[in-house]
Amino acid sequence: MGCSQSYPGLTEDILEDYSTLTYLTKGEVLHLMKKFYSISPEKLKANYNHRFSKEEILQKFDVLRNNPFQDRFFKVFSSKKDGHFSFEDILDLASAMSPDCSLEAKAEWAFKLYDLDEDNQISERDITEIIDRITCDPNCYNRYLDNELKKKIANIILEELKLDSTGSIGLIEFKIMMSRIPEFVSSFYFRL
Amino acid sequence: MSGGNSKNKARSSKTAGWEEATGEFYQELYPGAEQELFDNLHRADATSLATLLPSKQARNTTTAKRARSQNERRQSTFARNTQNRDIHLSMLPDLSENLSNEERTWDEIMQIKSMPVPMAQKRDLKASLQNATKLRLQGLEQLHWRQRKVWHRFRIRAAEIMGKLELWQSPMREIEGKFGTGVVSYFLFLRWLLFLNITISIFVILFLILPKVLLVENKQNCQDFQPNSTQCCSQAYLHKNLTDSNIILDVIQGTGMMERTILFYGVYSDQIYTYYIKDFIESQMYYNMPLAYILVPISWAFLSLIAIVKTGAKGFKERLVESEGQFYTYCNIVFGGWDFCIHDDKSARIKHKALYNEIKGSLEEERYKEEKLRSRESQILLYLKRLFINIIVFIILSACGVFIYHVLNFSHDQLREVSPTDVTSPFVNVTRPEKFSFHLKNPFNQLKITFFEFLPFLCIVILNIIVPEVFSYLIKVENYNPAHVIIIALLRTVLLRLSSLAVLLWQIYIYVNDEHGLECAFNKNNPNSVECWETYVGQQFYKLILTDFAVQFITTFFINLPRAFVARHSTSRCLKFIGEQDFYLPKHVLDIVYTQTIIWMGSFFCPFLPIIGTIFYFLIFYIKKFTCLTNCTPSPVVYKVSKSKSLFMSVLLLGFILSIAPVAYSIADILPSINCGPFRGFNRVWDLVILTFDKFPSLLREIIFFIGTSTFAVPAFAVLLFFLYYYWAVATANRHMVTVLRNQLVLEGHDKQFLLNRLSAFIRQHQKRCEKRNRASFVDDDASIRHSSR
Repeated sequence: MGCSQSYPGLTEDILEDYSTLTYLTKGEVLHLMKKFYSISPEKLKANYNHRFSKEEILQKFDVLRNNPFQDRFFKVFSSKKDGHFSFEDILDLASAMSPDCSLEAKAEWAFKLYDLDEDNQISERDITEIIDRITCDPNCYNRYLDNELKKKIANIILEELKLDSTGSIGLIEFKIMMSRIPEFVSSFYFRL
Repeated sequence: MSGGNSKNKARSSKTAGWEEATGEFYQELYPGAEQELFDNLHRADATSLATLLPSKQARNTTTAKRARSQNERRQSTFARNTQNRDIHLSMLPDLSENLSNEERTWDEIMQIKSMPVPMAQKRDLKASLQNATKLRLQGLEQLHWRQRKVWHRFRIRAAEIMGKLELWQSPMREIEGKFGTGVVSYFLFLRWLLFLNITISIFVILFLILPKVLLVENKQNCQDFQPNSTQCCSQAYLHKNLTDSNIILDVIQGTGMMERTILFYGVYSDQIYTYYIKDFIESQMYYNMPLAYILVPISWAFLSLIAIVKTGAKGFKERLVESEGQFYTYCNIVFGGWDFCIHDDKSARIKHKALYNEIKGSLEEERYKEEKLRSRESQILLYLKRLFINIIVFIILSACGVFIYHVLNFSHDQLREVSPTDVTSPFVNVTRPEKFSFHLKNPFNQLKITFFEFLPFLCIVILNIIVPEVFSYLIKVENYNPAHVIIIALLRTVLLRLSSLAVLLWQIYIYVNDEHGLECAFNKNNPNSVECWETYVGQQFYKLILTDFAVQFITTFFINLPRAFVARHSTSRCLKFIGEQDFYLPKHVLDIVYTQTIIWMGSFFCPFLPIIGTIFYFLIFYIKKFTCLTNCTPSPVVYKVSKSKSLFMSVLLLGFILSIAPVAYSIADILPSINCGPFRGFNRVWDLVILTFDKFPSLLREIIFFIGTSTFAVPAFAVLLFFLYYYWAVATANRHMVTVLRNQLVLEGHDKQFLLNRLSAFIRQHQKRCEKRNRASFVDDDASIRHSSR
């Protein structure tokens, strides 16, 4: 800390704040700032809260490139819902996906991500679309699962919650489900 | 609403959970909700009404509860309605003041990071929390809180430093990007083993090697020759003229000049060193070398066991929580299947395909289970096929064992012919004929010696490579469940490696028992006997680990690399089939567990082995990384991280137990050589421990004897059994409780459904009545208008 250049707008206090309010360490915040700054130093110097467009972000942070939920990331984590990221949005993203993040926090963010139609429920339609996204390669379209198979899987998942037949998963139920699935924490992770 | 909170003060913490849950339930219906309900009345069916239920809302209530402090039952609840996208900081009033103290505020600030809101809101929240008026803590509480803060800050700082120092962070990230978290867990396991070996090496260096190097042994000359005197025999052994052979070969084989180094057991002294630290302490200090030599392996064995059990327990806990069943399988695939860290194009494509295959596979498995009513004949045929293949596997394993046995015997005989074991002895006047020295200096002969020294190990290693491929081909025919395939393949390969090791050990044992160092080196009758059998055993392990490492190196760079090259640049299908490899995780896990087993087995006889092992692990990481990134393509098999972790630890534990058994036997039962080593002169190595134990103060001895007697052992055993039964009973009761609660939940669900149906029916009725009245009033108005217009 304090060994490399200082970034405009990123004072010690703010750095301390960031590290308290996210699951990232100060070193990681600085590392992210370095990467973010290198997208376009002048724009950041002019305005600390400058929001970069999706393409600029994807160019620098290539972890998001081949992700089937890429558009969801840009919708959920963008604080002004304009598909652009400011530095603080990147910090939110990194914190949610960091390995130190608690299971509950990850589950809450994941719920927002997986709720494709944004109705605060994960419905059967959402689940079928998720299955589509993870099994289909966007470049070759000849490998779709049948609709009935997808519906069947969605029904199996939703049937477990047969206690209330709304046919969709709410946030709290999702959180409980995710705590029973050991794979969730290890797969919902990347380092920017 | 808030009145409920005061009742909570009296309850214990266990029931308080339920009370607070009901309290929260009511608190959720704060003013906004009723309005929503009436707004949505036109959608009066049960399903849409149910979406208004609190459990379906994405409202987050974070309650900072402090169960510890008894006098604070006030809770501040932050309720955010995300549908309106702004924050209400509603501090629900309690009977007493609603100010929270510093510690409570600090806790809440620490909780902010788990909220799924943008950073700007988090900072506002933190600022408002900090600016709110708070009570200062007094006295003991303040001290306690300060302690917590200091400890927290220390942990954060430690985490930052550890994050910077983490070994191999960028290679892991590279592998993660291409292969996903399943493969990365393998490399994390490798790193864990490296650290374990570093720890063992530090032990060995501190307590064995440093004293041996720094402290000076008292030289005792042999005065009169007595046939069983350890001093004369060991002197004869340690000072005889060494054979004049090539130094490189010596280093590789561990013979000749290397035999007298600290690499092997032989040169460690059996004396109690005395030394002075002149500056600090005036009197003589003692260092008991033999005791150190026996305590160091015991301590690192315990250390390894504790490390394995601790790391493995975490994985086992996860295994217990997760359950099998369609629901969890599909949830795993849908919500936890995609590795978010993959960013390579090709890997992403392959991952899509892998997930597709997995879903298809699960669905087929369902169908397979449903169709279990197959015809009798096909079932019987399947079982016969499996039995047949198991017999073949057994035959292959025994054939391997027999083969290695013959190779060992053959090379042993050849070695006996080709090289004599010593040339001259200083105390015997008769020198051997000169043809022997000529014999040795011939380079062709030396190469021949080396070849026969390494032949058995080469055979073992090559078998370890070829036979698993045969097994993996065989297992495809057997048509097992995919989950079982990995376990059975792993089991068979483990058996193969174990059988080769077992045959090797058995041969060594026979050889050692046959003609071992009961013969004093002073005047040997049998020229072919081994004078120091422990060094001989150490040499075998040394050669085995070197061969293993060399073969891995050669296969990666000289066999697999051309294959990958061919696969990438050729277009013919046949070549591609040979060339393409994927990173088959169980095989690589077995490789390193095998290395670790050899290290554990051999460390007693060759103390340098952990250090060599550390260096090898470091190099093996880069070799495996090269294999993974360059030679292999991402595999279409999905490796689950949690299952992998518990698998690694189980296999490692198995390796540990199997490696400690022979060493324990040799410590307990076999006569140590009289010519060399720290235990010369004793009947068994364990006698030294007993001797030392006899010198303990009598109180300690009494206590330990008492523990061994039946007066203590039987009641202790009974108490242990009682605890075991108690925990088992508690577990059964909990399981029963889970079923009861689940049934209760189902009933509640039915109740809710009933109420929702009733509510929707009532609303519809109400609507109809309103419509009728409206229509009626229109009719009335109409009638009155017509009436008035007449």
